[in-house]
Amino acid sequence: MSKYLNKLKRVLVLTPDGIGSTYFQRSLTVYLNYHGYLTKNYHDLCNLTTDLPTLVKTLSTDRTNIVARCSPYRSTEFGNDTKKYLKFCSYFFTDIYVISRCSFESVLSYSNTHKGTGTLNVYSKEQYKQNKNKKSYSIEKDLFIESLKYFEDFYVWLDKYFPKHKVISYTDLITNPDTLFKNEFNITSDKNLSLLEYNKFNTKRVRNKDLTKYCSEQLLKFIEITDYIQYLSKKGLLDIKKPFPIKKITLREKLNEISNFRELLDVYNNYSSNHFEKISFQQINDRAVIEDNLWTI
Amino acid sequence: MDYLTYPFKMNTISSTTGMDNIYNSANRPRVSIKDWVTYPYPISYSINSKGFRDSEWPDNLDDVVWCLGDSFTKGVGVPFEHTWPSILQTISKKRCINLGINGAANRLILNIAKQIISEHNPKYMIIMWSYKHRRYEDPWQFIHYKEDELNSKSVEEFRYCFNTVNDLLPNIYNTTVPTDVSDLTQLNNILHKYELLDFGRDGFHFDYLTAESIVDSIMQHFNFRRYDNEL
Repeated sequence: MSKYLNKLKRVLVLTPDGIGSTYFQRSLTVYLNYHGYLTKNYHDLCNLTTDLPTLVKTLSTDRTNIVARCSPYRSTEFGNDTKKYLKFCSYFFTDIYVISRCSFESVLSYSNTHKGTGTLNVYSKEQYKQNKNKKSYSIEKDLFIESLKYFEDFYVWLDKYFPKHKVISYTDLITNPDTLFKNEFNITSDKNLSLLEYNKFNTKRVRNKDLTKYCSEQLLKFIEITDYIQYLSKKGLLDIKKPFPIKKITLREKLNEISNFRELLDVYNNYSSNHFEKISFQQINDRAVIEDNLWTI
Repeated sequence: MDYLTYPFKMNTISSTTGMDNIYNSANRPRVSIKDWVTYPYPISYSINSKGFRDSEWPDNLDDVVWCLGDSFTKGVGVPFEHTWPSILQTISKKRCINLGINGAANRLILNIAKQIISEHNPKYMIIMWSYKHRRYEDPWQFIHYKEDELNSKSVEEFRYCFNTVNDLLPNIYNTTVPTDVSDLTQLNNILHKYELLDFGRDGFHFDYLTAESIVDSIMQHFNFRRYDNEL
């Protein structure tokens, strides 16, 4: 290994949507830059181009570390070159991840997004308010089954085109992103970014929760992170219009607001699949308690 | 004629140059497009106001190390930090001036060296001589004869260039690009050899492992103090 330069980190997250991939990309981009690794977030590679030679040339001559995402539903934008595109991604990227999240929750989020609020991620208080669900709503069973099929297909696609992917836990990503990134990318710097606290603060802020317990030092740290995100945007490394997605609907909110929650859980547990782990209502309740404690909402 | 200003692409930055491009990689025996694309280190060609792949020169050139050569010195296919002049600078902490020019013929290298000797009274000069079959056409254009057309003229040309500059400055460190030098006799100074250990992104020019072994030899030659431990 060269003593004179770090190897480029080329990170790809594979996603069906609804598993935290946007948060992963944004927070990792900020984290790596903050620790001295010039890193650019391309978001979905199809946003850059759907011409494969252009994509190959652009990425392979990029001097920065790269964080990007690839999804089966957008890959087809490459048309006849779709398979070649996926093959290129599989060897070009040095670290290929998929986020492991409770499949029931993911499918619920996905169904909710695609036929419920219509917006996958929210990035501001205003967006949060606009996309907040009504107090009670239901998700059509057929839509939920369709979403289950979609996720099943995603896992098949994943194993077919990216058999060497690494799995990271959604819980680790949300509860301790700094440590997760430090360990995954062998970061030796001890600078404290506090992504978790920043995320918690924003989650409370958009919900008009009590923020008076934050001391000025903590608030200054959040301002520093916000400024840093703007700085990265000015350098073209991050899209400022979409910085960090903010937790839109907690599990507790889903439990309370989705009127046919139990019915959907039964559908999920009876769906025949090698990829979906069974989960009980009690386990979901326990998880909601843990999540509430994390956000301290 | 100012041989210390190469009047092409001054103050430019590019991600590819010469034979280091994705299309060329398809035709190289040691490298595939996949190798080119996945080369793990960042490469750019940042050309200074003198036309060379280097940062701007210091005002005071009294104590610098002059590094002359062709694309192997310029570091085609590798990051600037992996070029032998850059590694020498890192390890010796002496400012090393990279004067590598793509495709340079030995006669051009001779002319650059003569100007440095005449204008700067150099303390340290290192020359990585180019292929024998490269001939001079005009200051910035070179004819690349086929290697199988090599003849005594090519060897004579090399010997002339080599001996001329080594007569002017006795303590030059001389080496060559990776090529057969067994026919080079009657040279008036040592021609240092090294082992080719690796290749850069283009599958043709050497990378940092080979460069390090060359630098080790240069460090010994000039008895430079090493600062490796600060890396």
